[in-house]
Amino acid sequence: MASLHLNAATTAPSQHTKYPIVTGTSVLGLRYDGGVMVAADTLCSYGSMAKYKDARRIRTVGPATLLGASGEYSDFQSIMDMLEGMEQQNDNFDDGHSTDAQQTHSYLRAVMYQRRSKMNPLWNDLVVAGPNFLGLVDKIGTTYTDNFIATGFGSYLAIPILRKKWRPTMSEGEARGLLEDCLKVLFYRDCRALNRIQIAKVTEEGGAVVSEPYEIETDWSAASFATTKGGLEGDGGW
Amino acid sequence: MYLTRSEYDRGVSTFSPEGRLFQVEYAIEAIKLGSTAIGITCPSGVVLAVEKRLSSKLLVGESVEKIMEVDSHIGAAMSGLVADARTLVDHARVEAQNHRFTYDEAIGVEALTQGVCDLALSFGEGDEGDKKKRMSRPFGVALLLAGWDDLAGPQLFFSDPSGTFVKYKAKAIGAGSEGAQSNLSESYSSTLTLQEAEDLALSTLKQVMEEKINVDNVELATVTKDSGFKIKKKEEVKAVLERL
Amino acid sequence: MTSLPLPPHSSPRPLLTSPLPRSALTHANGIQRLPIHHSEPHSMAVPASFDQQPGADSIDHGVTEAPYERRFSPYDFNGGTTLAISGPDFAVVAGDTRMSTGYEILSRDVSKLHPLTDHCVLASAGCKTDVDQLRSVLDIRSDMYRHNHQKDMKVTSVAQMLGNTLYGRRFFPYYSFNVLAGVDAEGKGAVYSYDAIGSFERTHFSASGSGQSFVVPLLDNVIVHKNRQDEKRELGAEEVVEIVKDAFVTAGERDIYTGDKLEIMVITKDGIQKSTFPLKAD
Repeated sequence: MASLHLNAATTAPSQHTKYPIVTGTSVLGLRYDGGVMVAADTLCSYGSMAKYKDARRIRTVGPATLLGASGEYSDFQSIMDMLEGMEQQNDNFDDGHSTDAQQTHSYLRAVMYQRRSKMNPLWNDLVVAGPNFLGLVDKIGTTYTDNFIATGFGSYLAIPILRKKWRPTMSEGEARGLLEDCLKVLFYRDCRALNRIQIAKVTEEGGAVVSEPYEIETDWSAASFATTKGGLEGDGGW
Repeated sequence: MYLTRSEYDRGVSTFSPEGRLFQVEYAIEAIKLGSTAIGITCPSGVVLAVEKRLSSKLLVGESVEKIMEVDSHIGAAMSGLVADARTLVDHARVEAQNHRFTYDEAIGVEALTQGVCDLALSFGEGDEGDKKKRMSRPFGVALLLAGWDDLAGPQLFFSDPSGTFVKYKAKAIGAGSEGAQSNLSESYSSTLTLQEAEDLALSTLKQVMEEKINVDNVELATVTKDSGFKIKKKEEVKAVLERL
Repeated sequence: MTSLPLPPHSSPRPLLTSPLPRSALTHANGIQRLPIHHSEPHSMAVPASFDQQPGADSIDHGVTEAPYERRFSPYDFNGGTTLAISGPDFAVVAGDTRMSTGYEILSRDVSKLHPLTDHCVLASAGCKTDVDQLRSVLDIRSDMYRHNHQKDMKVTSVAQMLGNTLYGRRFFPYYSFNVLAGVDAEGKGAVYSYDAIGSFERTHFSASGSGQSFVVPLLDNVIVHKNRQDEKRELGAEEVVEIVKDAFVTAGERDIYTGDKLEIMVITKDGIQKSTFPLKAD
């Protein structure tokens, strides 16, 4: 009987992530004069259903690192559990050391690569930001750093705007304005986006801070939304 | 304080209160029972010479092998438990070939020596019931590793049962090592030619051997940049002996 | 209103209809309702066959059935071109700095060149995550070599080690296309060409990655003088660098994955000289 039990336990099929279930959409990040800013909305979708409207997808890791995630929200939560455990250890050692953004980025790459190599990925695109660092890690461990980064739909809709408007000398206010503009465009056109957002910044002096969620104003009176195309009846969309 | 060693000489993993590992020291003693082996470096190469104790007229001398090729550019002379030496040389050969496979080049002499010593030092390792056989005692043999590489040219390394290795210009090991080493100290010069080194090696052996030296009871080998490791044939040994 | 022209077909195909029962399509007063899943008036419904599709009788409108992302792939193709040319006492190695995925440019300044020793550079295109992994494995191995052997690895040794390292992942390959360049123990320029699973060869020149097919024919002509009657000149490093720039301008014209910036390294026994050259960023 024992052997039967053992057999049942060892032959149970192992579960791998083949696709995401509950997902967050774009995360945006940019460098500005004095720090790095990250922005995302607070929606987590279940397929096409807007299921969780207060999901916080930007978190702080230690004093001066921001982590933003698109993709599977449960995987992001388990990544946060892991990082918070490591931060707790850092605090317990009480030796003044804490992991900086570049180290977190590098560590997450190792985790993501190892998981993808086991064909059991953590289904996220992660934006990692520090006072002088902005990098991305995706679900297979691809990494790069840049002056501005956008994941998901943001790579189609926000990147062109960022390419046009971004300057290294942007003030904090300009940076926030630009990110809000990008999120507004994403809300207009990405069906898995929300107008309820969080903005976060990380600076040398202030460390990492994430705003409470707030709604951005939208204006649906633009001609392309208000008028129909070619005189046809319809909902005003293209 | 402790009049007998007997309490602390059983295990290889137990230090005596004086900080000694008796089993290792005994293993080093075992080398002093072995036949004498000599290595001499000179600018153009390294010479290895060993005494072969042929205890019976009926013994086929050629079957006693105390200088072995490790790779085309490295040779090893031994004194002590020859069977143990074969394990070490086998390991050294694998290390050398593995290096060629991995890096498409000959292994360095020091790196090879380190590889041999890694094995020599692994006595006492392995758990009870481990699949890999537990190594119960240190190797009872010392090696003279002679080689040539492009990092440091001709080199001679001495490794002992403790897993330590040291580089020498000239070194004698085995039963006659004390006399031989003092003779080498007196006669060694850093400008020896290869032939002079061969002569010094065999004349030193001649002094410390109990039997009369002849072509059958010595082995001679050289390592040079161009020819690599070569064991001298009897005629060549004869030529050296005639010069003495 | 005219009806849409229908494609010719032999047998009448079923109309695209609602999964609702037929009666529901009609109001109680007998006036036909619009089909729920069709924006066109019912009379204009396009005849369509779903015979080939699995589950044709329950049409998924992208709402009900789960995944919209395809099966997980551990690989990505991040594009890019690398090139190396050997000379009598030098080697030139170059790579563009664009990093893409699909039709997106992820970043415009990501290096494809990775110095392993003072006289040996690895250039890699392909899947960036595998390239990063391969680089760190090789860094560790060459560091260990330096510790164990008290010297830097020769290019010939790096070449062999890279081949073994790639073959070590024979059944889950590093999706990376490598070109190794350096100067060998005799001071001669050395270039090695690899496939993804470790097969390699020392060659006069090698190009790899997305723009390979544009660069190779050019260099066959200009560098190797294949099928040319005129006399072949020995080229100096400066001339080779100019040819390399031309080769990348050529690839950048037609390959969408090549562009932004060119990084060039000239390797001699004295070390590595780096330079850059702007490419089209479109």
